[in-house]
Amino acid sequence: MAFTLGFHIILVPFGVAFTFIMMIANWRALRRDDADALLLAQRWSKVAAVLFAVGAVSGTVLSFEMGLLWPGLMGRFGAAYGIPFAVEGIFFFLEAIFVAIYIYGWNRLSACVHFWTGLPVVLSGIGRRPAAHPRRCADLRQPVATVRRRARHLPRRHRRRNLRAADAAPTLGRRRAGARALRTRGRRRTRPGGDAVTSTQPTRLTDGAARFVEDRT
Amino acid sequence: MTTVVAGALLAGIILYGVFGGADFGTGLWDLTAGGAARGARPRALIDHAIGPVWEANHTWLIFCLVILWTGFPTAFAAIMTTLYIPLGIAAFGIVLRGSGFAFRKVSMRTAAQRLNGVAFATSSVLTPFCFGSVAGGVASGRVPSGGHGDPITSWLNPTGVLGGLLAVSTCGYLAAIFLIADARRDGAADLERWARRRAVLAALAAGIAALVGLFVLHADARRLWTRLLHVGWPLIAISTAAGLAALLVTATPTLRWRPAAVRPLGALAVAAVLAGWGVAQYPYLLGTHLNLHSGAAPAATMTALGGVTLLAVVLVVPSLAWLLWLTHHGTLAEIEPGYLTQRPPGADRN
Repeated sequence: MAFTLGFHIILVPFGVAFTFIMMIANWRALRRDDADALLLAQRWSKVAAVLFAVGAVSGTVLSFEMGLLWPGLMGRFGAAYGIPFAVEGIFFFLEAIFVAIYIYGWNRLSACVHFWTGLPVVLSGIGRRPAAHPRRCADLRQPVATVRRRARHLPRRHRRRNLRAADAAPTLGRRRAGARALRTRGRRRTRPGGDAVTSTQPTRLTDGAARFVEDRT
Repeated sequence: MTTVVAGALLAGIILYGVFGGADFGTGLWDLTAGGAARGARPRALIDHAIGPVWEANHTWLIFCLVILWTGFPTAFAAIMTTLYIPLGIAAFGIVLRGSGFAFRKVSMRTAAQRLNGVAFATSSVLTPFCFGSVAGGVASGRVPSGGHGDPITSWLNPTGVLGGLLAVSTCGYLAAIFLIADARRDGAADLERWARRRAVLAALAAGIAALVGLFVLHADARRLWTRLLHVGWPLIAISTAAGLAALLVTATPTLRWRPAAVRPLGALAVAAVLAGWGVAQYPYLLGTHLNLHSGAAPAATMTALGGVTLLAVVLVVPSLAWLLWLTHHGTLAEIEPGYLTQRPPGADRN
């Protein structure tokens, strides 16, 4: 399982980002009538096809292994685990369909239609990702008390962030503290110009962001 | 909602049987296409025909697996702990097949192409056999509700072997029927004859397997036999009629039917058999010891799955229809299908 997952997960970022880069090349080729970019997009699409095929196959094997290696887990918790996988399955289906249309559609479909068939590939690549993070999805729904209780067992850095989010929750009005804990992580609440975003809500800045704001002002 | 989800599962199995089956079958004909020189044109036809659709065809398998483990986790665990040998072989075959096909297309040297081709072709026969025997094991009620049934006799039994042989011959039949139309569309008359011969051969094999199968089921899985002939008989009749009609049209080219018109007939013959299995099994998931409602996931999960199924119908079905339409009309292809420019085998031998 670890081997298959380790192998499969390398192909996953390609499904999201590589197809996006390929679309940028395609976009450039169409907008600026750039033959080099077109050639690049065509070559990349072939690479994307092979990567997608290998990814699809290893993904199929993963879903087999969920049953073959962890039948007890799936028998008991499959009903809960399965939902994100089912949603992922739909996106996977769309990705497979549009990858095929995009790759085999060069010079066959009109350039514009062809370009737009590539877009669902990127979008469904992004849509599939939450299934890889069931834990993250679960956190979004935790009420304040749970976040606070669980924070005790977390490493210090995460404990602080979670407790802070739980403190902030009443002023945010709702119980979605977990969602807030995730959202404040890594997001700089400043605009590129350097001004802190003014908000009527008391915004809790992460340490890094606070320092960043101080430096700029 | 449980019945709806079970219906979606059956629909997924039928669609996987038809599309995935046609896909696996091409591997059977790839394996028997002859040496590198003689088999080059048929193999190029196969590449050309399934290249755009094979990934989408196999996505139905993931759909079925996910619906089964989410909607009916007990049955999923029981099947997996009992039939792990054929399922493991099938998973291995899927890896070999997918990578073999993908790498054969991009590898440059003949030796590497041959190796990848052999991997693609042998696993295309092995995998459907395993799936067929799994179906046979489940249908004959050899999977206990608690799982951990006999790992060998649960699939290597008369019904399981029958299921496996039926699956392989059906896959070959579907593939040949689909290839006839592809060869006709590309104007390769010799390949059309090649595929026609194989379609008739596979249809006869599948027909004989089905006839023998009735006796096997009577001896080995009496409940399935009774239910098939008493409740599922309209489906069996439809399957027989469609299969015979398709055979007649395929075997007599003078009827001048468009080969594309034979496709729905062949697909209907296979789909009706699979639907018959589902009807014969209803309302039980496993044997007569686990029924749909006691094996179902909690209601909330079933509602969510119903939503997902609806989403699949709204999003996937039109996209898939578009893909199949484009493929059918020859819009999707490599820049130029290679086999059209090659000389047919024996053309230089006067």
